[in-house]
Amino acid sequence: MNVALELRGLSKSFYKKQSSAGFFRSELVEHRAVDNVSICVPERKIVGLVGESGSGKSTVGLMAMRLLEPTSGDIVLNGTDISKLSPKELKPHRAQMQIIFQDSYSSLNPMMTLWEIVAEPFVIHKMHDANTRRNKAKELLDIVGLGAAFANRYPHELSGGQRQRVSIARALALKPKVLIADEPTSALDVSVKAQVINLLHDLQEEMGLSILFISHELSVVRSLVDEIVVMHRGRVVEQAQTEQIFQNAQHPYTKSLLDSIPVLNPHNRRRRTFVSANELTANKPRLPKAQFVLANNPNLAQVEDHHFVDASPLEGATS
Amino acid sequence: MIGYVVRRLLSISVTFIVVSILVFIMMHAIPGGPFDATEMPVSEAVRAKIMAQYGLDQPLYVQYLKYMWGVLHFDFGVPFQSPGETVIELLSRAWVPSLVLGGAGVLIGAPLGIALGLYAALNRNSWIDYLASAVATLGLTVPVFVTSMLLILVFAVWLGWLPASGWGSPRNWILPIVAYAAIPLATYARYTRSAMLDTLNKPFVTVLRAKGLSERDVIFKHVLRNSAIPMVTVFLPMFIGTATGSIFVEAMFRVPGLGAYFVSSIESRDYPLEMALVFIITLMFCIAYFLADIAYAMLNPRIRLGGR
Amino acid sequence: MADVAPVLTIEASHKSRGAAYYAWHRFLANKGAVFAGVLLLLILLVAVFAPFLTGVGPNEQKYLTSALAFPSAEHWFGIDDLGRDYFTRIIHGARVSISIGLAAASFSVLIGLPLGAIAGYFGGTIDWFIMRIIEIFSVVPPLLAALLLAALTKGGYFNIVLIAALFGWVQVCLMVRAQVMAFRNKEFIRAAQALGGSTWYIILRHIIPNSISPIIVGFVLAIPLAMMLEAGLSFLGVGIPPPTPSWGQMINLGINFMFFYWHLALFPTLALAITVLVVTMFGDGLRDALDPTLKGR
Repeated sequence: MNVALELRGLSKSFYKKQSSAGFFRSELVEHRAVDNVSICVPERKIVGLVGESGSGKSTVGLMAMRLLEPTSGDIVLNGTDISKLSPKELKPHRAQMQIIFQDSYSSLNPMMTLWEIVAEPFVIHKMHDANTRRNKAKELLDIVGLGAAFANRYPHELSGGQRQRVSIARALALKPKVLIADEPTSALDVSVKAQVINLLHDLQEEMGLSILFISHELSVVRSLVDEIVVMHRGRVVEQAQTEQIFQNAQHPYTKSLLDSIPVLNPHNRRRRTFVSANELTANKPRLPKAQFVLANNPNLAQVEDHHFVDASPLEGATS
Repeated sequence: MIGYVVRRLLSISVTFIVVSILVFIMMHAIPGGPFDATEMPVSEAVRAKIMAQYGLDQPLYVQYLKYMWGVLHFDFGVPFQSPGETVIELLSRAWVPSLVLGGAGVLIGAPLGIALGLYAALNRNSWIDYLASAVATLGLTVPVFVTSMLLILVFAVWLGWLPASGWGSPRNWILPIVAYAAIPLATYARYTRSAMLDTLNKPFVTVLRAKGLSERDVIFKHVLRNSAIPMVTVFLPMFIGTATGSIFVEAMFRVPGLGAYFVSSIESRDYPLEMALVFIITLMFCIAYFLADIAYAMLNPRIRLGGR
Repeated sequence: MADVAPVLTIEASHKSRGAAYYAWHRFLANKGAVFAGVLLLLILLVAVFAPFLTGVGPNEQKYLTSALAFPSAEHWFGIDDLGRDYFTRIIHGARVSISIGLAAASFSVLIGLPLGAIAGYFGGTIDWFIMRIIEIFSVVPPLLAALLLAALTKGGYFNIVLIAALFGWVQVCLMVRAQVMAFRNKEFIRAAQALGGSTWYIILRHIIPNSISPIIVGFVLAIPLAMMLEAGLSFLGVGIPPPTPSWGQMINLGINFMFFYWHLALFPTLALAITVLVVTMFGDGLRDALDPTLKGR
């Protein structure tokens, strides 16, 4: 299995001034938004990155795109480490990996028509002449389900779902290998949400895309992704193949996420449980030392094939 | 909060010192002093003597430091235009008319403006609302000396009710006070109205009404308080407008106040007086700026933590 | 692609409308601003064609024998103390006033636009530095400082333009800065960065086009400020030197004659008041039309 995108030990710290020491002296307080996160997106697979807001999952996406500089860690795209490249060296690699954002409205420049927006990648990468750019943009709009009639519209004339399709068209213009989808459906109505998910699914199969799908809704992710990484407070707490998570979640935080999915049958309604931070630490699984096999993240223990969980080692025991 | 006050105080002091240096350099760097050959045709030796007497032959930074040292002792030197007294003595005469007229203008204009703005916001599209908008636009766009001129033409020249200029009796004060009052009146009418409308459209006001609070309590206990912030913010521009207006009002009505002396000091290149006036006015502005900041911070709990 | 929703269609009759279309309609709905705009156009036309409107030049002392004459059918605004047709001088005054307003506003944008864009886009130290400069400008009352500068430079047309620009750029800078800051973190900027667009590309292609509204508004609102500054300085005798006609200067002259020859005071006062009012109302209307969120700023 070839790896399309690999994030190795990504961390991001933000520093906040705190003037506790007096009027003029202030000290920098470190806040680790992302702490040693490693994610591997195999070719032609979709990996879901799940967590509550503030868990650092979007920061991971921005760092993977080099839109935010990681404090430490490497980003390996198709075998090339792009984390240290200069903007100029990075530019050709940009074509290999693209991103779509949550807010479809602010993703599109309100002063540009749709075809200009979709043709922008060609302009930036100096590809094709003006006419070809326009035609290619129209083709792309067609592929994402917007007819050629949309080419001369402005973003404010579209619905949220339509705008998100434009974002997808722009991201796919350069035929990237990897797509980072940063909560592309969170702001959409339920029916539109399904359409966009289906579109992404189809495009993934047709174009052989590898997708890192960032979301806070496990239910949305289930139908789409092959593997799930759960983040909490900047750290990976559990990662496994999709059904393993749904059948056999180990970490209390993952369990509470699963618990928050609404059930269809009202007879099965139950009281949701929300675990506090203290309970999370206290209920962290304790597993035998031998199960901690990952070199890049020694906090994760292997529970079954492909299934890792954040646990504390149980001294002396073996399995 | 104390930390914030101290930080703002430091920052504003630095600004003040920078401004004073800039003004000092500006006034001395541009050619054409008060004792230039064109202004005062005397022999070189005599000019050198006069320059030395006023310390104008020393390097600029020495002059500045000497000047600042004097300022700390309330010594602003002797005005060239009336060497018989010190600048401080001259100013202690001159500030009275400015303060009386300007103060009365603000004290009448500001409350009137607030009342007008309040009433206009609460009765949208009534004739008072239109009147408030008209007054605000006129007062904020038309320069003070134009308003003054129109006042003089109507009430002094054509109707003959009031004297056009002078300082002698309270009858002379009426027109200048009205001219002064136009600035705070217009400023406050406009900003009170827009601040009130802004607040009235906030969801929390709808909630207050929905829970059955009387309209009076909604307005006086909640809306007014939340509208106070923009009204504090507007204090500074209003103050600047009024202080600047004094130049024109006093020139127009021939009032012997600070503004009038400012103009005459500029016309006659009276460095000590000019410098002292710029100094005092900048200081007043810095204090006003500082007070506005502090008042803003006290009214708005969100700004206290962040600092600037 | 069986699952994808059917290709979405849009009625053919629906015309695509850009931001300019909506701005134009918002402007037309504002009756006061339209009225001000029409009046402004009229004043502009009079100013442009001033030399052809009356038979005499503004400085020709052709009517010395009837100096200080009151308005009549022949001399609409009367004759001034030096025997010049006052109407001619007033409309030539419009040329001076408006051209200074336009020139100063252009310079204000020239200074304020790049500084505002830089401060807003890069933030951090550059922004801090520019904001400190602006703070200095805000504690110095513009008119007093302008008065000082005008006196030191002895006034004159170009000095007045430069002085007005020196105090006019701050507003433009703040407006552009606010707009750029609002747009800097928009996701389409991030998308362009993700595509590999350079900083210059992003500023030219995304930031500047989206800052057009505050730039236009800043420009238009800087015009009356410069006009008032010129009038004020000329009124105090440190602006445009005679014999060039300037309304401020003429008002100052009018004071000396107002008790007996009121027309010398009234007409320049009205001309200045109306022009400044009309430009401001037009500018306010334009601001509300171009960007409703800027209202009241």
